Order: sequence, then structure tokens, then C-alpha cells
Amino acid sequence: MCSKSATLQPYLEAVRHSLQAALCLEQFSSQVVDRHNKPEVEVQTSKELLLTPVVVARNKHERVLIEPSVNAVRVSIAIKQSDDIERILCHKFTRFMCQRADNFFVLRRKPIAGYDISFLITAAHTEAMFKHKLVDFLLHFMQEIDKEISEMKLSLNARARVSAEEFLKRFN
Amino acid sequence: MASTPVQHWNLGIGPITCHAWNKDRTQVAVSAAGNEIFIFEWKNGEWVNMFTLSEHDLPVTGLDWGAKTNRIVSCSQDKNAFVWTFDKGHWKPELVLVRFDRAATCVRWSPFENKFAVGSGAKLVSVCYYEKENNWWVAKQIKKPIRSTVNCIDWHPNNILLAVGSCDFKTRVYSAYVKEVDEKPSPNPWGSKMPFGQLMTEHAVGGWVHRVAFSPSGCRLAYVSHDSTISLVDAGNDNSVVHTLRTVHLPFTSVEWITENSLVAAGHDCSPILFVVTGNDLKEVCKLDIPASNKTSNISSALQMFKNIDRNAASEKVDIHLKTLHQNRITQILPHSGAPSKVLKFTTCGTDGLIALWDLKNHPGLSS
Amino acid sequence: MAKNMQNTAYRKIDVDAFDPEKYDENEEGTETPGLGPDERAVVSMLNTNRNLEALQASLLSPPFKTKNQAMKDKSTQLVAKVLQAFKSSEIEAAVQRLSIEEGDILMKYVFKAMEILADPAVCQSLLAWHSQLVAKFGLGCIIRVMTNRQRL
Repeated sequence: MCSKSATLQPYLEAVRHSLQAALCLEQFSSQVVDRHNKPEVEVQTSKELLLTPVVVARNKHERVLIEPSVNAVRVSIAIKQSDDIERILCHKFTRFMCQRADNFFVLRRKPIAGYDISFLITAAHTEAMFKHKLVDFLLHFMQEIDKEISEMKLSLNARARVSAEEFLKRFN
Repeated sequence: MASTPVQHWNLGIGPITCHAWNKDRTQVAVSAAGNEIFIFEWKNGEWVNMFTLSEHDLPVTGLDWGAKTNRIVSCSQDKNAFVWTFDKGHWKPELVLVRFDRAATCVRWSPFENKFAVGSGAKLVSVCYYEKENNWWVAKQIKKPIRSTVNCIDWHPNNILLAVGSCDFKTRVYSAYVKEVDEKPSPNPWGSKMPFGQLMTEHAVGGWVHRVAFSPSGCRLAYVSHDSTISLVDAGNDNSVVHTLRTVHLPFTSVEWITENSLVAAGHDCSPILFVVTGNDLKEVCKLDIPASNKTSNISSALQMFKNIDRNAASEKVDIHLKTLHQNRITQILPHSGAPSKVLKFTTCGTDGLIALWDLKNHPGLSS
Repeated sequence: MAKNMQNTAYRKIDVDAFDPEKYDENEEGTETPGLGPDERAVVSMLNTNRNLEALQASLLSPPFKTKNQAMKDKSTQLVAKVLQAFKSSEIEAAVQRLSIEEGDILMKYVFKAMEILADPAVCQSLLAWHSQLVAKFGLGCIIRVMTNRQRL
């Protein structure tokens, strides 16, 4: 446990720096379709406008994929899931959020394969919001979702225990 | 160090993509993220919006104000360019036949202002000049061998050569000699044969080229690209050799010569940085933005803390402001006063909606 | 009328791929073949406790040009091995000795190693290297990993 938390800070710092570098975006209108302005990382029509994707990993389960392009960055997060309960909770939680993606502006409706949740940040977002606050938000999200899931797991276990006790009382 | 704070104005129109000054610097044309061009005039100590030009129907990407002829040229993502002339109290647009099938990205008047160049997402550059017989602006196009969107262009002081930076990781210098309007060019360090569209030199770059700039004499070419580098080509020595300086900063989006031997670059790091050319190499001198961290003393810290709790629901003391003057990407640098070979003041605009006026007078980095 | 109206496969052809003006990254210059670092020399330096020399040797001739992914991964593993040989207290001093070019190459290896070797212990050392590299070479170092077309 001790060694685990020792790598959390460097992990978050590495993600922060990589995001700061990736979020150097500008408005860019499509060179394939006229009068369109699409996130190049999603349409993938011009190779020269995509940058090398990078992965920051803490271990096999916790990693972040950052795919930068000229006018948008796709950030995908794999969340730690050590057992079945965490897997179910994580799935429910991210699904709940993805279905309400419109309210979160930067959330992508569908995560990239191999990851649990994806964000799509476009140049318009970096213009409307402070870039450093966007980075803070993503890191805050990464910390909170771990906390949230372990809390949910605890309360789920507690609830299971209570209901089992209640149930077994009948047979006393 | 300059002790006076840097003058800056928030024009209240949102993220500024580009700006252009008139000859005596009393008016400025700016374009925000939208399709309108605003003309502000300095009146009684503030900027007053005098005109709003809305002929484009998609965001404006480039603006340039010809000092000699008092004409504005604008281009936009809607594939068009307009030349605006001031007549009887109004700005009159004149459509230019740029012949693009993709967005226009940047525009610059030539030094003599008898022609201008527009870059485009259609992987070409149009050099436009006025045809008197037909009464309209026509374009000649430079296509080969540009393989991606043109990001930036700059004119050589001789009115003939044109530097082009694009997303295919190349910086090129072309001849934009138009025999209808130009006198026959004389040989210069970049080459001697200059028919229209002739590729004079080509250099590979490590990233998308965001800005190219000829030095005041035209002998040197500087460019900045997305790999956080700044590069220099000195045609006086050898125009096939590039000197590239890798920096520790985020990518620059703009670079401007302030003397023959020094440059200012700015971009995603939100602060202008001074570079000098010593011998053949580029050297970073300093950031021109003095962090305001010590300005906010402890008096306001308690207030700041409560504000933060209130606004961000954050319990610890977080300063939500960057330490630089610009709070977001700087999009453009323009010389403001002084001669081209000795710029005294320059302005920057940024996506945070600010225009800032930087004074280089008595700056220690420029003593040489 | 045309006979093959049933055949709609032609609609799926990506015509943009045949655009002669299209950017093709494979035709960029082919200088420095880059056959990967000399593994035997690096390992022998590691065995004789010459860590810094091993690090610098492992950063020589990175295999950017080859199409052989297995060879690239092998170099990445070798560099990761060298990086792990350093104690966490030695990393800062080692990074200080690197040139900015070496820093850029090492950063590429660090990112690639995190992608292919997701072992907690390896990642711990990689993250330490990452933070020291950023401290020395700034965010420009990360930007150049992303922008550079020569990939691992």
C-alpha cells in the first residue's frame, strides 16, 4: 500500500505535464472538407495534423492515453479495477457520465477501446476556459474517481453485511 | 528591467485571433473568434468600437492594415478575402478572387502594398494584385510542392520574395514576382533567377510552422514551429544551413524581428521571450514578462482564499491566475513603434482577449 | 445503363488517398539508418557499474527508421533496463549530464517504455525519470516527443 501511494504523485505530475504540452491547440479548419472545422484527432484524415500519442502509466491498470492533434486532444483514462465489484462500479459510473456527456462539455460519449472513459478537448474549449484549469479538472477527476469507487465499494460491502445480518436474524 | 507595468487593454470581444494597426497607431482592427472585424479607435483614454465589418460569414483568420494606402485586407475560413477601403466615413469591402476551395489562413500586404499574399488550407498561396483594366483583384497561385495547410507567410522587404510556412513540416521561400505590377528584381542572397512561383529554398522543420519572418534587411529568415524550436536561416552566409534552437518552453505561435540581431517570440507560454543572434547562433536572453507574483502581497491573501472557496469550492488557497500578463495563448506579435530595424514597442494579442503594449526601451537584453 | 449497379464497393474507396498533393510521411529523408544501441556494450557497462556511460551509449543511434517494431521494442527494453539500474537519488545528477538532444531521445524511450512495460516497479522509476527530465528540459521536451515523426 505504501509503495502504491508513493507513485501516485509522480504519476499525476507526469500526466499534468503531458497534458500541458498536448493542450497547445489552435483553431484549424478542415483541409479535406471546405467550411468545416472538425477535431482532427477524431476524423484522422490528414496524418500530418496528428501527433504521436503518448501513454503515461502507473501500472497495468492505471494509465492515461493522450492523443494530440492540431486542434483537439483526446485523453483516455484507464481506472484501477482490482476486483469484480470495482469493475461493475466503474462501468456503471462511467456509463452514467457518458450518457450525460453534453453536460460535461469535454467528455466523449464513448471511451476508446481499452480505456474506461475518454475526454475530447478542442481548441474552442481551450479558448473558452483557462487551459491550466482544464488540466486541473482532469487531474481532479482522476483522483476523485478512484476515491469515489473505493467509497462506493465500502458502502456496498457495508450494506451487504447489514442486509445479510437482517436476513440471518430470522433464523435465530 | 522596465519597472513600469505593461500597458494592456481588454477589448471585451473574447478571444482575439489577430490584430492590425493603422499607420499612426490610433486605430486597431481586431478579429475575435467570430466572423466580424472590429475597428477600435483610441478616444479620451479608451478604445471605442467605431466600426464593425461583417462581410465574412465564418471566423476571420487574418488581417493586415496597409500603412501607406490605408487599406485593410482580411481573410477568413469562408474561403474569401476582402480589401477594405475607407471612403466617406465607411469601410467599403471589395471581394478578391483568391480562388480557394478551402479556408484562407493568413494574409499579408507586400511592403509596397501593390499586392498581397493569402495562405490557404487548400495547400496553396495566392498572390493577389489589382488589375486596372478589369477593376478587380486577381490572384496568381503558388502550389508546388506544398503538401498541407499553409500556416503563415511573410514578405521580403524587396517586395518579391515570399516566405511560406506550412503544416507539412517545411518552410519555403518563393519568388512572388508579378510582372504586371513589379519591376524586374535584382539578384539577392536568396538567388538570382526569380520567375513567379520559383522555389528559392526549402527547409525541413520538426513541427508545424506557426510563423515565418524575414529580418529587416531581408538577409535572415526566422521561423517558429510546434516542436518548441526557433530556427534561423542566414542567406548572407548560406541559405541551405538552418540553425535551430530547441527551447524548454511550450511552442511559439509568433516571432517578430525587433532589430537585425534580435527577435521576440511568444506563444503557448503566454510570455514574450527575447532571442539574440550571436555569430550564427540563436541565444535565448530572457522572458519579457515579469511575473506579478510579488505584486499580490499578503494583504489580499485572506480575501483571495475566501474568493476561492466561494468560486471554486476549493478549500485550500489556490491562485487561479497564471503569473504572466496574458492568461492564455498569445496569437500574434506586431511591431508598434520605431523603425523596422529598431522596434521600440510591440503589441501582442491573445486568446484571453487582451492586447498588450510592450516597451523595449532601456531593456538590458538589448544593450548590444 | 451500367451493368454493375449492384456493386457499390467503389463508393468505399478513399479517393483522398490518391491525391498526389497528399502529405506522405514515409517519403521524408532517410539519413541516419539507426540500427539501435549496441546491446552488448551497454550491458557490459551496466555490469561494471558505469551507469552513466551505459545510459549515454544506450541513447546512441535510436532505431527510428526501421519498420521492424520488435527491434524498436528491444531497444526500449534495453533503455528501460539501464534506467532501472539507477538509484532514485542518482537520477537527477544523471539528467544534468545529458544534452538537450539526448534528453529528447530519452523522453521518447520513457513514454514508449510506459506504454509497453506496464510493471509497477518499472513505472515507478520511469515516472521519476520523467519528472527529472521535465525539470531539466521543460515541457518543450514532451512537445518534441509528440511532434517528432521519428517514432519508437
